Amino acid sequence: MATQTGELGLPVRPLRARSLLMLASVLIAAAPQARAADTCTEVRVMATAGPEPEFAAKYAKAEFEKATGITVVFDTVSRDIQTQRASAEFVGNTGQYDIILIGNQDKLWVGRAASADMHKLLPASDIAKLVPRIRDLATMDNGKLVGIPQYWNTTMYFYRKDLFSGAKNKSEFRSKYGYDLAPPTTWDQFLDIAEFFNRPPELYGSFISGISWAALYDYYKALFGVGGEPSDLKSNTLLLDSPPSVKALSIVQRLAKVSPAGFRTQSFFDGDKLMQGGKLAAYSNFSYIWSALSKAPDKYAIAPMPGPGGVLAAGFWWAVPEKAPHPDCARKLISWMLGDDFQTKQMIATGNPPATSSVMHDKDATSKIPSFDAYLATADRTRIINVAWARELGEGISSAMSDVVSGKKTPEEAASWLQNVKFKGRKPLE
Amino acid sequence: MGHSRRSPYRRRWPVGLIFVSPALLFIAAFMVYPVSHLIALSFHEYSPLRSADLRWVGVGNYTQVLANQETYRSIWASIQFTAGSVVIEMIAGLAGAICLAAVTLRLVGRFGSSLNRLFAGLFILPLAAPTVVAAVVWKLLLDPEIGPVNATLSTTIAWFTDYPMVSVIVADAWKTIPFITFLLYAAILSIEPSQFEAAKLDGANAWQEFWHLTLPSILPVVAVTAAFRTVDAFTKAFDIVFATTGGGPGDDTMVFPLFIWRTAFSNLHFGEASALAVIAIIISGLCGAGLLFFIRSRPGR
Amino acid sequence: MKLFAKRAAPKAAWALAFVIILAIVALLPIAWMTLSAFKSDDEINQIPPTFWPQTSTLDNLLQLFTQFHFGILTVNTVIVSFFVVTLSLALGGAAAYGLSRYPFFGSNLLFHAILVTRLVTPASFVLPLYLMMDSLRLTNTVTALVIGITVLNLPFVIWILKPFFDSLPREVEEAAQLDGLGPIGIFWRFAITLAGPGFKTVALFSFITAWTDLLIPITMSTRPEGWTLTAGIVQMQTGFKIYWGALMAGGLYLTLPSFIIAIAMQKALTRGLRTTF
Repeated sequence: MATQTGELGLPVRPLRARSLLMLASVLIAAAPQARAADTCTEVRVMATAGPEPEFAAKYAKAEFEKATGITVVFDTVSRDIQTQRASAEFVGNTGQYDIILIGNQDKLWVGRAASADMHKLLPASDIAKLVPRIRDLATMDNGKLVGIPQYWNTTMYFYRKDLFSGAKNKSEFRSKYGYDLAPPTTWDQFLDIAEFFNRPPELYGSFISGISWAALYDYYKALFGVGGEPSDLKSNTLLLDSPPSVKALSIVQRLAKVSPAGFRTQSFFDGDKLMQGGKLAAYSNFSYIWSALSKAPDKYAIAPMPGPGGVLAAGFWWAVPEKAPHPDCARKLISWMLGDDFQTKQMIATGNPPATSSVMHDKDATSKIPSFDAYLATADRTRIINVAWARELGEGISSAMSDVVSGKKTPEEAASWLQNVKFKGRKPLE
Repeated sequence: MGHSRRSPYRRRWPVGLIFVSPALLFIAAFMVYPVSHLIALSFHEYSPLRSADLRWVGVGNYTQVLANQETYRSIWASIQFTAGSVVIEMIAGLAGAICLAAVTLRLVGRFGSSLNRLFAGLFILPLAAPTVVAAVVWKLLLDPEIGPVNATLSTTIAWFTDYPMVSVIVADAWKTIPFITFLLYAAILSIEPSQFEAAKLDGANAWQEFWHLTLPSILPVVAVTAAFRTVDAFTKAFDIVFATTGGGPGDDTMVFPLFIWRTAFSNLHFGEASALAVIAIIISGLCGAGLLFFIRSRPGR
Repeated sequence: MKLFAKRAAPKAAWALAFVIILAIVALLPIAWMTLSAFKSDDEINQIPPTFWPQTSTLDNLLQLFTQFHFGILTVNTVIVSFFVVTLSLALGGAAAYGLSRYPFFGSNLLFHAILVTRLVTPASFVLPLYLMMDSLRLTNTVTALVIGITVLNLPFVIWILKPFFDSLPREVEEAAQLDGLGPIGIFWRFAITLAGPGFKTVALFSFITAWTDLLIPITMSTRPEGWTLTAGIVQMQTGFKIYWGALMAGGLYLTLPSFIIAIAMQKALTRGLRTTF
């Protein structure tokens, strides 16, 4: 049978042979990579988009790969679908990644899913390096260590030193509010200061994030600050309509009035840009931004968050799925990550306090970070989000915040809506 | 259609089945079976973040989903998007096709036909571009600070924040209007030229020609196109929204397909998402049934 | 003969103006994207924006391959497109031919049943498909993508091809049958070449569908080895930094091939659209 050419100029082959060929090639293309014994040549990390994972990726490629010859691959995941990606790894049937960067809000569901217990994966000597407080935060009630914090991260108050020390500002503030202008120790003071400095459009008093994956942080900062908790794990109930929660929502409402418009689709990264551009008088954010702001010590200063309650901790933790293809390599990378060299370089590059005690107490290293004692002062107050479905909670809170800010609901109504309508019947640990 | 024709192959009817069976098996395995699994799943609770088990809940998912305000907000967002985009696209597409025909039918010679080809090429371009590319480009164009639209208008409007639905519709319309123009233009071209000659001899001016000749001739095509676009805009609005606003701000642009996807893959509530998915299939089934009925009822098809 | 008929001149001018506006609106974003693809990120972030690049750079294109995995994404997309087109034509063409030429009891009903599956919302369908692929351990593979996109494409293919086959003259086949060819032989020798234009149209549409699909790759795969270009470009918006230059370069990269192929098959496209309605 001579080969004929069809209209497309391609030879027309017999049907059966062609489809067999096709089937074969499809199957070959699909064959999952042979799972050889863990020869440990590669480690894949799923990293959420952010400055610290970026630093880790760069440094690991430069130093770890050179030292061990193991290839390191960091795949960046966008923030709004991070939960989809991470849950596919912990819940699905195939493991693609060796290390997943999770946030503290993921602790409860990752802990209960198919993730490795760090106590079992890492030698005790590595675990002992961690600052005890962070290690405890990452530990479940049953003792399982869910992830290894890459760094220590708290929310801090960043403000414009030049504005705060201006004589005119000081006297005006004193006469208006009755106390001296200084970094706030309570949330009411925070709001007073923000309202005082709100002079749009050149200067805004503060900044809150509106986009759903970041909005909940602002609520929690206020909630923890006034002494509240999102849930009571012992009784497994939500506390979304508690008085601190209502107060937190009214704080958010007041904050929104002194934030630039357009925050509904913005995150704290946009707030950073504004602060660095001189458009914000003060705001609260995670500690990473201090590395940029501390370069202008006359302009910016850092202080602990107002209280009297707790402070939102954050930061990426490194968790390992049970189905990780190369757990040995994962262990090696995490051990390296806990080393003094990485932790010190990271602290200086990103401005975050380290995760290990040795670097935390290394005066030579920490003296390179201006006002490091501000971090130490906050250390014991740190709290994490204790709900197993934080992403959904974040969406609900973002929606409540939006209603409160636009005036559709009062803080009481919004809090009640959260507890009794939106998340009716839900439990923090389901 | 097929039975009445006297076919010498009637006796060998299994042959037809043999030709159809590979496709049939494929669709059965990868469409029918999953959808039936979907329906079954909609009667269970399956949230892998809570537990790996399936739990029978009967119509529990449906009642929960139908009692949820967000479901209706999502459907409303879909309706807004569908209505807005179909109306704009059909009107602009029709106008474009008429004008294009008016121009090209009067063009003669080699210059004319290469101009023809040029326009055709130009209008194919948005069709060939993936929707996500349109989304990304419009995100830049409408950026409040660095986007050329604001620069030209001397404003700093954050389009995707303050007017999300409008911005999404604009991005979608940009991609679809040329396609609609192309389609209707092809339909206009298929009207016999002799009819135009007859109209001119009768002394019809351009408006009469349009109203009494062009429009009635292509009305069937217009109607079918509009119907298809409506069904598509309702059920397939995923890409453009995902790549621009992600459903936000809040859930202002959370169109129904995106809502289903987020419930399933971001929140991992597969039971609820299955109920929503079944509802979506029912809605599009009704629309499609209406569409089919409409096509069948047209005379002369 | 003049370029425009005299009486229609004023209306033609309006029409021409409208068409030109439409063409500019269709073209301008693409032009902006192309120009921005060669601007550095700093220049793109300038306020007010510039039109022509002040200093052109190829860095964005390079970044696509070094940072955003465009190498493997391209390979994936090409493979997926190829197999989707091949499978769609093979399965769909055979099915359309069988339904058209060898009708059997219930074949008309079957045809309409297949059409009905076109109405399934892709977002609904992808849910159970993901669960199915996950249990088969086919997530993050090209196979899952091919299967998902083909099954959504098949009803469309059959819907287009069946009328094509219906319109072919039967005499050719009857003559071939007298020559002793079996049904499959007839299918290969004549039906395919005669229905060539139809196959071309369907191949083009299938290619565009596979090349531009987002939902299936982004659901089935969690890492670049399992994505296509569209999933890759959407992932470039991370929420942390926006690499505008790379995004525009990526958009250009994605659009160019399908644009070229669409232009090449322009005739088939027009014919296909005409016969559809």
